[in-house]
Amino acid sequence: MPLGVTLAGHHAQMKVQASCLHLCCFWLVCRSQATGAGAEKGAEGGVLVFVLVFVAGCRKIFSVKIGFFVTCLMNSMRPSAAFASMRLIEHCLDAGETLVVPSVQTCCGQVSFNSGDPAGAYATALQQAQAFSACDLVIVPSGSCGGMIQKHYPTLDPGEEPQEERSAEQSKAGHEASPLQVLAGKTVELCQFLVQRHFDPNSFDAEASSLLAMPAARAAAHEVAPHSHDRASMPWRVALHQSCSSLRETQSAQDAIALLDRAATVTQVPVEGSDECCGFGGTFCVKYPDISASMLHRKCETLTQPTDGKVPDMIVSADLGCLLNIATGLRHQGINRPCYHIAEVLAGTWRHSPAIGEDAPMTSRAKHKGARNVGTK
Amino acid sequence: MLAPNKAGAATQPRGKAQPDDAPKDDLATRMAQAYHVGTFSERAQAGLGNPSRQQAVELIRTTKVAKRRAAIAALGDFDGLRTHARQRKDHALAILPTLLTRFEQKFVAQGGHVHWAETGHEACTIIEGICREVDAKKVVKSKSMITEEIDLNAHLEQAGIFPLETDLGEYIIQLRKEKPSHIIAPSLHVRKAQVAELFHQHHTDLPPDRSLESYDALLQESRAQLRQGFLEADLGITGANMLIAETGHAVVVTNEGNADLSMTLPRTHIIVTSIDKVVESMTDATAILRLLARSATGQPISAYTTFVAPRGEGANRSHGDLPTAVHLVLVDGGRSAIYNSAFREVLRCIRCGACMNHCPIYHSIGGHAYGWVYPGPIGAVLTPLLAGLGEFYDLPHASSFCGRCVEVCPMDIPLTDLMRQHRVTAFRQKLVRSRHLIRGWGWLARRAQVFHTVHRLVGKCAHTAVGRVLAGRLAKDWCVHRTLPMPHAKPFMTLLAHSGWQPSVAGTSPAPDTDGSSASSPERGAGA
Ligand code: SF4
Repeated sequence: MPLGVTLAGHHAQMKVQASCLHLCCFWLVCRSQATGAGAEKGAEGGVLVFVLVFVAGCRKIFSVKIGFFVTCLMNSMRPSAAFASMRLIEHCLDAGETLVVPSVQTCCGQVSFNSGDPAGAYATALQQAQAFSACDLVIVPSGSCGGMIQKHYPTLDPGEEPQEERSAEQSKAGHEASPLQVLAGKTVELCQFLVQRHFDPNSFDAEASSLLAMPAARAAAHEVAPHSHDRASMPWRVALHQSCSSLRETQSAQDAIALLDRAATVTQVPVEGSDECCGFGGTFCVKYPDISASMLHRKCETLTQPTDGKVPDMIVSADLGCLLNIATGLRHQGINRPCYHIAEVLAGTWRHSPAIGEDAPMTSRAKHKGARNVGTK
Repeated sequence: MLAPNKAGAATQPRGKAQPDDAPKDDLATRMAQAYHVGTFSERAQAGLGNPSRQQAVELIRTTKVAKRRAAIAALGDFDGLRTHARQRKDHALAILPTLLTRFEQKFVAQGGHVHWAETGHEACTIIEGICREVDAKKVVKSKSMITEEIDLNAHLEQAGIFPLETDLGEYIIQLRKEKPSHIIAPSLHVRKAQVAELFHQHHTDLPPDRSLESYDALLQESRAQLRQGFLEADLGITGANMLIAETGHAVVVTNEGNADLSMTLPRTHIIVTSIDKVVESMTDATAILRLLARSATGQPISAYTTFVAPRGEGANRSHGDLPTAVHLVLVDGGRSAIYNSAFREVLRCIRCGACMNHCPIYHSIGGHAYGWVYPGPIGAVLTPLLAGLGEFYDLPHASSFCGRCVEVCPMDIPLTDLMRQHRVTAFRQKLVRSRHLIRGWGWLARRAQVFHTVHRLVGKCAHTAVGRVLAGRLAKDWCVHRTLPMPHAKPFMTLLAHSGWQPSVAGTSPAPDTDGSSASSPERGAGA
C-alpha cells in the first residue's frame, strides 16, 4: 500500500480516519473467523470474498488524486506543453495515485490580484479551490501561477479590504484552514514535483507515450529550427530562463536546473543576469509595452549570448508567459532561436512541435482526427 | 505630525484621498509639479531613448549589483542580520513618539536645538529663520534626500541665501539645474565628458584650455572649488541617516567627507531629517550601518561614518573650530499619515538605493522618469504617498512585480506588496483605465463553462483572417516589439476532452515498469 505518499490537508485526514475504520472491520472479521474455525467450511469462502472486497476498498481509500492545473495561458497558447506535463506527471505517479484534470478549473486569479481587484481574485481563487477540493496534490506547470497559489492565496480574503497579514500569522489565529490555505498547502510547481519524485529524464520513453500521439503535439505542419540541426549534434545547448516567480515565489528555479542537468540530451549554458526579469509581468507588458520591450531586449541579448563561441540551440523556461514574451521578441528581431517549455524538453516531445511563437497552422480537422485515435484504444 | 504631544492623531494618507483633495499650498505638491515634466510615459520614453543615460544605468546594472553581491556574500549571515535590523526598526517605529521625545531630551540636554516641522514649507521657513538669525549668506550643504523633498535650495535662493552642494554628484546636478536621478548617485545620468564641459562653463576663473580628460582632473578641480566654498560658508546643512534616542546622536554617512566639513567648519550646523529616522540604541544603529553601505555600494562600511552630538556642557568641544550652535529640524512631511496607514513598513527604509540598483524598470527608464525625488521601487511606493496617487498613478503600476527589489532590500520592505496596495486604492478610486476588462476577466474566471467556451471561440476566431486582423489591432502595442503569438486553434481542455483520455489509478496495470519505478501509463491501466 502506498502509505508513503504525501497526504495533504483535510481530504487526507478523512482518508486516514476511514482506513482506521477499515482496519477495525478487518480485525473483527479475523476474530470471528478464528472463533468459528472448523464450524462451517462455507464460511471460509465468505471470508475470502470479504478480504477481496476489503483490498478493493483499500485501493479506493488510498487512491490519491493528483490534480493538474493547466493554467489559462497554457490552455489556450500551448496545449502541447500541457500534454507533455501530463505525461511527465503520469510517469512519476506512485501506485494508487490518479492524475485528474478537473474541467471546472479556470485561471489562478493573478490578473485580478495584480490589477488591484482583490475581491475578484478571491472569487477566482475560490473557484480553483473548489475545482481541486478532491485532490491531495495539485501540480502547476508555471512558477507564476504556482507562486500565486502558494504564496498569495493564503493572504486573500472575501472582504473588500485586502489582507495585510501574512499567511503564517493568519494560521496562528487557530482557525481551521480556509479552502484557499488548503489549496496553497497542497500545490507544487511541476519541476518541484518532478524533483521530489526523483524523475529521470533519461529513463523516460517519450515515444511510448500515447499522449504524445495527441495532435496538439504531433501534427506540426512545418519544419522547425532544431529539425534542421544534425541529430548527432546532441546534446542540445540549452539556455534556461529562470522566471522571477520561480526564483522568488515557488523557489523552484533550482529544481529546473537540476532536471535539465539530469537530461543527457541537453547541456545548459550559463546565462548572464539570469535573475533579471524578461519584462513579461502579465498585464505589465500590455500596459507598458515600451518599458517591457527594453527589458526584453536585454534578456534576449543575454539568452542568445555565445559561450565558447557557440550560441545556445534553444531557450527553455518553466514559465510559459516569459517564453511567449521572449520567443515573440526574438522572432521580431529576426533571431531564429527556438523556445520550448521545460516539460516539452524533459518529455522529449519538443522534437515534434513547432517552437513557441512559431504559429502552428494546424487545421482543426487534422487535430480532431488525431485526437480520436488516442486513449480509447 | 507625530510630535510627542500630538502622537497618534490619525490623518488620512493622502494616497487614499482624491487627487484633487491634496492641499494646494503643500510644498510636496508644488515640488511634484516642478519635477513633473510631461506625463510618465513621456518621461519614460525620454529615458528609454537616451543612450548616455542608458550607458550610465548599465554601469549600475553590472557593477553595483556585482559589488553588493560580493559584499553580502562576505558578510555571511545576511538574512540573519536583515531580520535583526528589521525587528529593531519595527520596534523603533512601534514606540516612535516615545523615542522622538527621548531623543529630543538628550539632544537638548547637550545644548542642541530641536525644531519640529509639520510640512516641508514649515521646515524651509525654520531653516531660513536660523540662517537669518546668524546672518548667513553662504551655506554649504551635504547630500540629503529630505532637503530635496522639501525643495530647500529653491526656498533659500528665493530668500537670497546661496546654498552650495558639496557632494560631487549633487554639485554637478546643481550646476546643471537638474534633479537627482538616483538617491545615492545623484548625477548617475551625467557622463564624464558632460561634466568636463560643465566645469569649463562654470569655473571661468580657471584657464579655459586646461585638460579635464581624466577622472582625476575632474576630481581635483571640483575639490579645489568646493574647498573654497567650505571656508567661506557661514552655515552648514547636513541630513542624518539615523538618530539615536539613547544617546542623542545623529549618524551621518558619506563617502566624500563633505558632510564632516559642512558640520565642522561653519559656525552653525543644521541637521535636517525626518521623524522616521530615529532608532533606539547605538547597537541598533550599528546593526543598520552594517547593512547600509553593503547594500548601497558594496562597501563593508562607508568611508565616513560620523556620530554627531551638539556641544555639551561638559563635553570638551571648546577648541573654537567647531560650530557654536547645532540645530535639528525634524520634518514630518507626510510621515505621520504613512505611519497611520497600511504603508507603515515603508518607514523602515534606510535609503540605500539597492532596490533601484536591482530594478529592471529603473534600468530601462532611468531615475528622472519617476518624476519626483525618489526613483525606483522605493519611489513607486513612497511618491504616491507623499505627492499623491492621482498624479503618480503610473509608478506603482509600471512594475512587472519581479520581486528583485524585495529580495535585496536590507530592511525587508515588501515593496511589491505595497505597490499592489496602491493598485487596490487606484482600482477603488476608479483610476485604473482597464478596470472593466479586469472585472470582466474576474467574472469569466468564476464561471468555468463560459470561460472555456470563450477560450474555444477565441481559438477558433484567431485562426480566421478577420481574427488575425482584429488580434493585430488589439495587440498593436505588443506588436511594436514582438510578433503576435496566436492562441492554439483548440485549447488544451477541448483537445483533452476529445482525446478520450480517462483518469486511471496508477499501478493497476498488470506489470510494473522494468526499471523498477512504479510508474504506469493510463492507457495501459485503462486497457488492462
Ligand atoms: S526600500 Fe529597501 S532597498 Fe530601497 S532604498 Fe529603502 S532600504 Fe534600500
